[in-house]
Amino acid sequence: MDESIIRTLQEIVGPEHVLTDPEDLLLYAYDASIHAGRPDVVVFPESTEQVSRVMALAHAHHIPVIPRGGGTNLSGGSVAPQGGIVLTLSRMTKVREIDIPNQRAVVEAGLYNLTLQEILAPYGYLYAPDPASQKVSTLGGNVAENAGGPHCLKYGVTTNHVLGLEVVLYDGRVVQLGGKAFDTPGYDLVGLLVGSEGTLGVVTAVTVRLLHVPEAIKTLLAIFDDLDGASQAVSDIIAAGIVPATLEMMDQLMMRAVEEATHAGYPTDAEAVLIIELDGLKDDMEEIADRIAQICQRNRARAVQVARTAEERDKLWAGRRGAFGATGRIKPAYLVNDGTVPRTALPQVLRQVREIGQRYGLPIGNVFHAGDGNLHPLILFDPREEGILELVERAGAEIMRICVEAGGTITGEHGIGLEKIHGMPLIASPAAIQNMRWVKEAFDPVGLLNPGKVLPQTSEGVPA
Amino acid sequence: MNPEEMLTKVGRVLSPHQVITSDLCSACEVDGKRPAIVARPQDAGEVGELLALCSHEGWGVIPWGSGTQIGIGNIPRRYDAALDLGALDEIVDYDAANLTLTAGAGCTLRSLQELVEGKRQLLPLDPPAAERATLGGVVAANAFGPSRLRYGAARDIVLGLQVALTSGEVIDVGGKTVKNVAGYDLTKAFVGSYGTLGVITRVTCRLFPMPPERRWVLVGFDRAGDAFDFVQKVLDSVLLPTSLDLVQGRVVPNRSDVSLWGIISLEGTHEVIQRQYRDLGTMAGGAHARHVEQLADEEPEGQQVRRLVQDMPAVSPEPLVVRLYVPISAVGSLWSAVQHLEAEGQASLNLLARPGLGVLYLMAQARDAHLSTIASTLQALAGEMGGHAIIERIPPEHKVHLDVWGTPRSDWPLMQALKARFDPAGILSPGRFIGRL
Amino acid sequence: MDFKELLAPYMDEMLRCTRCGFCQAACPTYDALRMESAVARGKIQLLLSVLNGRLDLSPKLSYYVYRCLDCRLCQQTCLSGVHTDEIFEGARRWLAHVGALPAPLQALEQRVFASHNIAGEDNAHRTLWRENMNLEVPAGQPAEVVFFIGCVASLYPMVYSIPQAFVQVLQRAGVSFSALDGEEWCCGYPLISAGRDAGPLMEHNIAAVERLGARWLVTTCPSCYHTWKTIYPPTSFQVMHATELLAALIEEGRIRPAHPPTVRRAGDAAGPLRVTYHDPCDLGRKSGVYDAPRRVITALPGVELVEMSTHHALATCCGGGGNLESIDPELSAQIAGRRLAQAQRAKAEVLVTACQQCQRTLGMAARRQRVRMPVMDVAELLLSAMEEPA
Repeated sequence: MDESIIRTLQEIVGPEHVLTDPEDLLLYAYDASIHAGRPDVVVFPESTEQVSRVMALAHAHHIPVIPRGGGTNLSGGSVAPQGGIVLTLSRMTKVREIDIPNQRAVVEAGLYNLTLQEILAPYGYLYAPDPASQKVSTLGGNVAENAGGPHCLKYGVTTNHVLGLEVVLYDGRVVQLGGKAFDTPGYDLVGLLVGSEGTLGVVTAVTVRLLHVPEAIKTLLAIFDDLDGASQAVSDIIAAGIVPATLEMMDQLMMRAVEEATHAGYPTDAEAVLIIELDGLKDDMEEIADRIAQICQRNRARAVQVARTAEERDKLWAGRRGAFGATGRIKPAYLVNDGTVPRTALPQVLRQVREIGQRYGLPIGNVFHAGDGNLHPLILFDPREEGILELVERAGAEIMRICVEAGGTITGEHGIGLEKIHGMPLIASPAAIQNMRWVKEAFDPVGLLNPGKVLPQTSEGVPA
Repeated sequence: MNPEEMLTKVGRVLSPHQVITSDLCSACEVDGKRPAIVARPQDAGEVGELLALCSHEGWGVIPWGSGTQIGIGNIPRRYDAALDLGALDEIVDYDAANLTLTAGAGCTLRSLQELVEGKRQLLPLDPPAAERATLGGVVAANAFGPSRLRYGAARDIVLGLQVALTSGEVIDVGGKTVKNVAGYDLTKAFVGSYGTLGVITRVTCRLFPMPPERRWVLVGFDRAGDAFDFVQKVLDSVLLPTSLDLVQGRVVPNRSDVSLWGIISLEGTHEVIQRQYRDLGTMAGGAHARHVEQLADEEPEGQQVRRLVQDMPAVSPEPLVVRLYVPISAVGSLWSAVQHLEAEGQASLNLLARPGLGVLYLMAQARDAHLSTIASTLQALAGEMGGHAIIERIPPEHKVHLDVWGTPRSDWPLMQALKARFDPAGILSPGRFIGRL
Repeated sequence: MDFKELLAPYMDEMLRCTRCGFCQAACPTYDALRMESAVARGKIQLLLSVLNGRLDLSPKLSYYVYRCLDCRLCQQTCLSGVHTDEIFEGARRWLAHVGALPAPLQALEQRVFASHNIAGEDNAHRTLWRENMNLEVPAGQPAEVVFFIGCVASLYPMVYSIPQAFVQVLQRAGVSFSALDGEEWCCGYPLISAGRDAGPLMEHNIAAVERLGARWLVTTCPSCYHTWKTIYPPTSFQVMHATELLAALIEEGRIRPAHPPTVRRAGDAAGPLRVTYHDPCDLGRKSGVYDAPRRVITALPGVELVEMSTHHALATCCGGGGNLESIDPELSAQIAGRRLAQAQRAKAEVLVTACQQCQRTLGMAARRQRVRMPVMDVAELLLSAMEEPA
């Protein structure tokens, strides 16, 4: 990259916040996926104004910009396959406003999700989306991916809780989309930006909706000796008109890794467990818990346990949230699928996933948001084995396909990124993809922002 | 546009009985403008073909459901054809086990709600005039009612759409799962776009289990300040009301003479409802309420209350209806701020507040000459309080110098860019959206 | 020669890192810098790149590896159980072997080799800490207990008070002990943690203690304790940390705290004295001693022990760990400030620790930030709660 550009970047954010050495570039060439791509320079702005100046510079010189938060992306969304500027928002962590009377908070994009929760707790409020990575994933990243999390079964995903965005556009212009009030007139640009994976604009601040902490919480652990029983119980609970706060499933392989890591108390001899959490008013919680227990027992549950203390509950959740990270205890690498299917298809799709694993000789662990039908089959492998990556990717593609065939989609919350770009035609017609391209063009006509992600190349080979 | 010539061209797409001309088109008037033809396509393919034709010919086209929201918007720049989507009334897929419903845009909300209620499920959209409103229309307008507090608006409930584009192509966006991040969330682009980007032909919605019991709670207050104190207490509590509205005392019939009524709906098991009723009673007492009572939803009086809060913006006779949005804690100050209109004798007002949503409906009767001044004043007032106002109803002549959506903001160039790509010929509801897009 | 074979044995362990990035939440250095180079995930990727031939050895690489508190919070919280201690120890050995030690550490190494203490002073000056005391401290005499004072407490005036307090408590409890004075050499930890061997220092120290026929070696320094306990070869005597001895003396009734600790309190302070305890990494996470210091504190009258938001195995490092202070003193200070802020949030009146290094970094942070919170050692707090000898 041109020396004068580097110098200008240094003037904008300060020399210590511009990295160009090979060691540093390598450190921003990866995320939590199996993808890599090395940038030409990494910058760490600390204000919207700095982000705006960096974007204007990038625009003037036609340099790609890849926004990045905590680097926990699971689909290659934060790597730089075409080089360019990695724009890391980790220093933009200001809480601009905690506005309890209006049940809103305005925070900068680099703030961790969990930090926001910790700030809100003393007020008796929370921000509902709770991705498993919440201790190290940023609000900006959550917006970019439309992050979900266990509690999204009841409360909805990021897009249902974000009301306003401060966005820096491709040319450095700063726009405010939405705000504290609902329904800003015009198109729902906030809705379009959420989940756009950093390809439409750089989100620098987020206005979120806050919810009152529920009066009561009850966490159940239902233990099953067969996977079918567990997945059928999921369907039956929803069909019975119960919407728990969470309805998570973990299979034996994952429980073993998680137990070793966290000693959370998961039964490693069982085939599967459901982590079912109820929240809300205390008055009918006991009764609903009883009904859930009965449904589980009808589906051959071995036992249904209740977390007796907050500590027991926290441990179960620490285990659940740490599950992906714990797979290193089994194999050094994983490819995680994120297909989502109608809940009733779960038993069948899980059987198909198991069959794919057997056919390819690859261990596949499952830990996922069963209530949402959002699978996370983790294909575990050792990248040093000759030819294994190709095998893993083929198995992954098959899983995507069976999810689509079951009436679902290829990604529920991890995003398309680089990894699932070839799967896009499975769920979007050429015309629908063209529509998405129109959106891209409207926001980023020259294609500077996170290029090569989300949208497949056009048939003419022109980058989207 | 010459209707005969149009008929000939439309005749290549639709059969003659699907097209209406002449005086019959008066039913599809918008802001005093009458289309040359009304076309009634049978399926999405025909909608697409018609749109392609309109694009090619440069005909302005406005999609119609039952017209309950059609008054919202600026005066159409051009209006040649109305697109009556009433024939797209197919139930495509009612997947009760997965709590999803896919249906044609022309289905009435009412018919769909009856369908799912049969399986003890709920399609929780309760916009004004839900008896007649169509699914497509409600989604295109992101219309909502009191229960948005619990269930969200169309924006939150719609999982996927089928949309006919001006190119003539028909696309599916979103899907039938609640979580879906495959590509851009195009459903959000179309929901609330008032038929200016494409024509929604089919909608997939999320359903909810029917609560075992629903009840209405009425709380009467003498002073607005007390009512809003009560509201703030309820919103800052662990209680989970489904809706929370405030209306002026006179609109609730056969009740004691109070100045304001708080109208709250509760859902759930009997214990949960009664516990919340008790807590509401305590909070109401603390806020000097004069009257607290509960009504079962299924009783005639409960239904009356439901219709009152749900339909008021649609059925009230006033010539000016404004929907104001502010941050939720500002609704009380907004309520008192608008009173000056009445105090100064400029208008007589009917008000409906949804404090949990930060929404205030203002329905005003005033001298015709004053209407646009009042409307602009309200837009400015909402803006000062960190919100905005949409003029839902005003005689068309006032719309000439007034953007009913308010002044475009810094995000408007992006909207313009979107519109230019989705509707390059500018034929879909031309001129009606913000900034006369 | 790049001697990459020294790194190769850690390949498997490094590959266990799934790059989930959760170590960002644990790492105090990352918390301060917010750059990937600070965190275990990043360092592991750099080392893997070296092994894969994608990255060459460079001063920057070495700097990144050594810019570490060695506090092991990354390992403590790693879901895949990656042994970052082994990986980074291996990396440092490799870097030291190829001559890539950062300059401040080379200088430190020189000083320790030349003068047998980290300060580079004449080792005979190890008696400085006690020279202004009116106390006879036995040295070089046969005794049941040898008090191993450590370089920092012996030679850095700011923390002389720790051994001074400790010996006073020992004497009042009637414990027979002896110091080594100039025969005490650096325990070797600074060398070991830089990637070097410390064989000669260890041999000397073992011989010096054995000569006095001691059954116990006690030290107030957690780093010396950790080194003696886990890195030294087996010895004929037992090693204990000062807090373990103090707890035992209290429980055996040989020390009777008589009144609440005499520390400065705010004018409006009421009720029991709120004391928080900072777990030194070398004592807690690395050696498993969490309870002894807390038992001493809670044995004092009029004291309430309050925990900070992180404590025991998850306690945040004070910023003085590993070689960070030599490599980047400003960063070390910044981290100390954050730990001090935790103590403030816990509404503690006194910040107590059991390590001269923690006491220095946290004490300096308090001074810099004008925080009127005394930072003191467990032994000092205990002494202040004991009756003056008649």
